[in-house]
Amino acid sequence: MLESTLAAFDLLFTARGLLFLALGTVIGLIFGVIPGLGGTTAIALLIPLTFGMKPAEAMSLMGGIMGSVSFGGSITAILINTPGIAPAAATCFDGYPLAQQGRAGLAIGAAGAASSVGGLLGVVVLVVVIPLAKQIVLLFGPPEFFMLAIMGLSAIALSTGGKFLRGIIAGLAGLLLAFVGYDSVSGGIRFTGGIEYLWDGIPLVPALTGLFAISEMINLSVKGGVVATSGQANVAITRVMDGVRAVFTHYRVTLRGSVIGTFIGAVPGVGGTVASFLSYASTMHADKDPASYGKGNIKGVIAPEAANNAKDGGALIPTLAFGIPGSAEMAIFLGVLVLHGMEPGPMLMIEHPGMVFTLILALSASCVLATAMGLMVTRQLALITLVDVYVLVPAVVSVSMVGVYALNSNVGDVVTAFVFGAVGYLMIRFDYPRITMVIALVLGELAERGFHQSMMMSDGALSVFLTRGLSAALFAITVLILVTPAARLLLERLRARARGVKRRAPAAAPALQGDGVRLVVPVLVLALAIAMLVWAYEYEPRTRMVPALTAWTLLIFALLDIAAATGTRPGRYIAALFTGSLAGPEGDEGKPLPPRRVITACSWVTGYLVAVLLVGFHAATPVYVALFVIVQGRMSLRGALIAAAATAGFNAVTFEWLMQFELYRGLLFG
Amino acid sequence: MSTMRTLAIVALATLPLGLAGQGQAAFPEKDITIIIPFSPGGGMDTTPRAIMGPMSKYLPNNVKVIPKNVPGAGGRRGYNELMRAAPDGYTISVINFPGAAIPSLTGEKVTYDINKFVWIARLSNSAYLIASAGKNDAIKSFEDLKKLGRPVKMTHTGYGSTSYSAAGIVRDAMGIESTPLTGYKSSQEYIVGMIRGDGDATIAPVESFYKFVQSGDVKPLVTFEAKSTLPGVPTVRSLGYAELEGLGVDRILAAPPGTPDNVRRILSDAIMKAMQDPEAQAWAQKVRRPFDPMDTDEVTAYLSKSIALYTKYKSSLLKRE
Repeated sequence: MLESTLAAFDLLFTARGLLFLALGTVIGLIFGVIPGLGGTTAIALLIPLTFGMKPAEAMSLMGGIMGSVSFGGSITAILINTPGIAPAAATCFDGYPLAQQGRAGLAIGAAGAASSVGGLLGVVVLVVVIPLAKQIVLLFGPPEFFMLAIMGLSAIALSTGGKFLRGIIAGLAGLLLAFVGYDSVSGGIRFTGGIEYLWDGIPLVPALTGLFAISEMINLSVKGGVVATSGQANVAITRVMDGVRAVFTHYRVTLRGSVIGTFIGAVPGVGGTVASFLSYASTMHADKDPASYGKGNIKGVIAPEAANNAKDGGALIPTLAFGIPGSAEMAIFLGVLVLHGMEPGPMLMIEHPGMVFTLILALSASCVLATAMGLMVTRQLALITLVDVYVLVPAVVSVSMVGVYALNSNVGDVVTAFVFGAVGYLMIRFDYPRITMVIALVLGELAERGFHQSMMMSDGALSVFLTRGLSAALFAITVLILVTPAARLLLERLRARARGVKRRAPAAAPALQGDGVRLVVPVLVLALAIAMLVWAYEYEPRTRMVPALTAWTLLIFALLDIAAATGTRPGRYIAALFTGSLAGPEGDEGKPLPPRRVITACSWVTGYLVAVLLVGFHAATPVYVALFVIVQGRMSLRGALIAAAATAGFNAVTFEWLMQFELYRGLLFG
Repeated sequence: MSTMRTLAIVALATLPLGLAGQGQAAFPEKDITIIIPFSPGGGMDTTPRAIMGPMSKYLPNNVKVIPKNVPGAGGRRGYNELMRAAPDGYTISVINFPGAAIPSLTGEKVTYDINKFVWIARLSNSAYLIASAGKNDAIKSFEDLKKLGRPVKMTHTGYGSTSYSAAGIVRDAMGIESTPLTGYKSSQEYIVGMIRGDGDATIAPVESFYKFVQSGDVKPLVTFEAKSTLPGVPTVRSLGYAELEGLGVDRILAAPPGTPDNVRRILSDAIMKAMQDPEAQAWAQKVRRPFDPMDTDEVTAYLSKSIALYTKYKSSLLKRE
């Protein structure tokens, strides 16, 4: 072991090795920062580049990318509430409020340090468990995967606090969307309406970019102003080192996040998004003051960041031990290994220990290098929060749409991002947690597959979930999670009775432009549930079983939600049972907004989409940005032209010139 | 002026003629794209990529060969793109056989027609192997599969996949009753699932098993190769099922329907030479994936025989548990 580690040092610390490591780190940071792009795209794009490299150099490049992407993704999450990559969505919760308070430097410093520490801890765990990797992978069979998916979903719904009921609803709706397309168990194709694009299901990255980036831009343009609401004076970034220190002061949070990240990362198909959210949720629940989260608590930044980078170490466990990718990035990375003559599997560590350790070293070095590089430019980056929203919005909308397109050169992805942008805005507006939907999109297939496979293993006996130790344990945790709010309510009631306080009825929800508006989403959800139910019964029993079950469950919860939204007495009790508090549901975000502004904001995005479809990115982007800046922002023609040229130029240089993508040319010119 | 104009008109008018004449004589004039209907990384991706460099060496006019991954719907998206491509030889695709043939055999309505593709060359063939878990004491030989007393649980990617169809043929031709356990993402995953004990046995291309056999996690029971590459493993022929010899997965290059004969031969020649090129050979050795070359005529004859075998067992492919 020591010998191969030393050999790895020799391989990595050559001039070319270090050059590729640095190159990988820079590329990883950039791909992380741009919404829509991520580690998967970066690795996929660079595969051809590694053809001519020595294996050790390819490992340095790949390790550089993997170690740095997540920090890049959190920078965007903190500054403009738009995760650059999926797992960074959890960083938005507290990172963005910090940026709004003018403390972006603190948040970025903490995020960077937490990524480094988390990444290093993940690698340590990887090194320790590599000899045991086989046993760990063999521990997780289909019943365990199923229970793990259900547990993950429940935990994340619970972490939304006062929105537990809505969290469950968003999760169930996300599950239904996850069932669209090819069903790997029955081999049937479902819910596609004959659209070829949907055969492989709703693609995750475009959906996510829509839910978080596009919807946030709609939200920003409805509100107006700048991101940092506390005034420009506070934005001077001076507290970066305080952020770094916070990671060590709150070492428990960092440690917990790293352990969760490594563990979840090691489970194939679950990945970083779930890891960072579980870490956030568990930190919040372990904290004495859970209410301070979501309002700019630095621990809410540290927890997901540590987990998100630690997951790479974990994800390498099944990848190296069996050739089963622990994440999408790893799936493509597997290809790189094979390309360089290394077949992942039980023999890899015996045949190529030097290569494995080179990768591990590169990964650890990159975690630290990325943080150092990122922190150096933090000051400049944080200025973004001072950019006028009417410049920021069209620029981010355009860059994320281009990023989404670059993923697969498929214009359908751009449409998906747009549709989910609208869904996401509805969810922001009516306070439904977007994250449970995302997690459900990630876990839906895993859950369904795990269920069917378990049934096939046990010849249809449900007891299979309880007779296996690990599966039973996961089931117990899930039950605990689901009853937590009701139990908390009961406990509160018992304590109150002990003090002799009289029973009181739950409070009504705060009013939001009359109660009719509140019913918009529950009714839409109910319609979705009924439609999917009717549709599901067109398919054969095995193909429809899990979707139909999900749709029935969603139907029940949608009815409960409608009841809760009416503010009647039974409705209030339902709400209380799910929030675990008599105080009524949490208030809806922000003040009532004039519908006209919402319609205007949505029309701009729609207009851009239509223009892109017709004349392509190159023609549509400058016109859209310039018009938006002039009409919405009421700025000078000169400013508008600069913004338009900058955005279009950025797209052209980054995507077409540096990455050699051909951007969509439009139906008219295609 | 008018002379100039006349000259220009004559020049313009004859331009297409000139180009057409050249096209006949000197294919290719521009870069050739190979569609890869799968994601980067797997054998279906790396095998064609390994011959692309050498291939351009052996093509006239210094043209390049460019890969284009079109993953999706088990290859269907890429096959559709090949079906729609112009039959000029500038777009060809790698095909998974029998993967591309199964959907239409099992009654699925597909928009491409495998019988219309123009076959250019075979790159490789991976024969199947049936295996059980190393620690499974109940199944130690092929005979044990028959003596299990209940249907064998076999792990697969899914209904309609190549291994699922192979299990159907194995059931009807060799008398091994099996129930499928489907939904795994790749052969690696379902082999590990079998090792874990999710199912009793599995069937996959023999190369996918090498490393697990070496580590002792997998016990090979019977191979569909003509000559076993694993010591001591019986072949299907030695067990009396000669008809099934060679049953496996082929990686084949195909051109769109209607591709002219001379173009198909130029491509085939270049690919045959590319597979013998030291660069491609070095790759094959490094990753232990040997080429099994067949030129355009050989592969066309081979496929008509293979398609006939699958058509004979068509009803076996269709059965669900």
